[in-house]
Amino acid sequence: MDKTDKELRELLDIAFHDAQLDAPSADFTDVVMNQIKASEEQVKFAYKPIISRNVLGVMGVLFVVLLIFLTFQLDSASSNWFSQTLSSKWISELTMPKFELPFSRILVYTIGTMGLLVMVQTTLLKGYFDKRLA
Amino acid sequence: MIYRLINQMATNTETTLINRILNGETAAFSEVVDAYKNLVFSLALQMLKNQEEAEEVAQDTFVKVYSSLESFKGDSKFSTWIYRIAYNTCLDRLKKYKRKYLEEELNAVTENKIYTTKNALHEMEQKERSAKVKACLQYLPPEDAALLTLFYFEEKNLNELEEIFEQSVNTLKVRLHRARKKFALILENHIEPEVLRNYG
Repeated sequence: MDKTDKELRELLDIAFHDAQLDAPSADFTDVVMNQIKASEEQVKFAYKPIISRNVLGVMGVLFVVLLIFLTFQLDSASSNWFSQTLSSKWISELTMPKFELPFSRILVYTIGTMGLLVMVQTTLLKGYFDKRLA
Repeated sequence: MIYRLINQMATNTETTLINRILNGETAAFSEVVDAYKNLVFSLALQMLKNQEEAEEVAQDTFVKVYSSLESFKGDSKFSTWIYRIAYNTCLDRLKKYKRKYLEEELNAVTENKIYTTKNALHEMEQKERSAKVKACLQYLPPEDAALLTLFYFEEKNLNELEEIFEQSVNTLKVRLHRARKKFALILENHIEPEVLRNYG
């Protein structure tokens, strides 16, 4: 066994003594560097929400706490302040003031069309960037 | 022990180069690619047995090396770390396509056969011998080919191979012996019988 192993070692030493490594294509380094540059560009344009997840989470928790707080407040107050206020006569007599601003029809249509165009453009741009960064 | 430690750590030049890259000098990474591309490509070629695929996997390896450069702590040789990434990238590719490679039917190895093959190989012209060795490596299973490539082309010691293959030195010794045996038999199969007869 030892002798076979010795012979094997000698055989492979001879075999690999002057064996050369294979070389990739001439532009290999350039291709790798271009891929790295492209991946860096992708990182620059990476999707990042305006409000981070943490902030959204905190906002969500605050919203739920506020909701619970208000529910309890209203429940406890419903027997006195809330019922009294809402059922009081004077509140039912309240009417919303009427605003009559001098908007012409053309102005309303223009603003409406502009809004529509912005929405269409936003959708198209979102699709374009999603494709580019995919 | 001290030699082993020094030998297994990144050199100062490598650390300086890595720091330059990490500090934003992306172009300096081309020095890393130039230094290791031949061995990474050869390793991929011996494992995947296909030129185009090997080139693609070698490119992927360097992109991975670049993107995970920050995680290189310098407690192993930079080359060892790169070869480990290359080896794992090749394994991933092999798993992905679940490709089977043509394996030759191998007979039992005998001292006499090894001796004959050794003599025949010894008498060959350098070019012919080199071509024969490369051709025979194609018939070795990917993991054996990787082991022999790294052991003989990079003059790796088993301690460094231990880190690349994540196997103990003893396991690697056994694997190396089996790979040598397979390679000897493939060589014997691929050397013309009349040449072998002359040296038998």
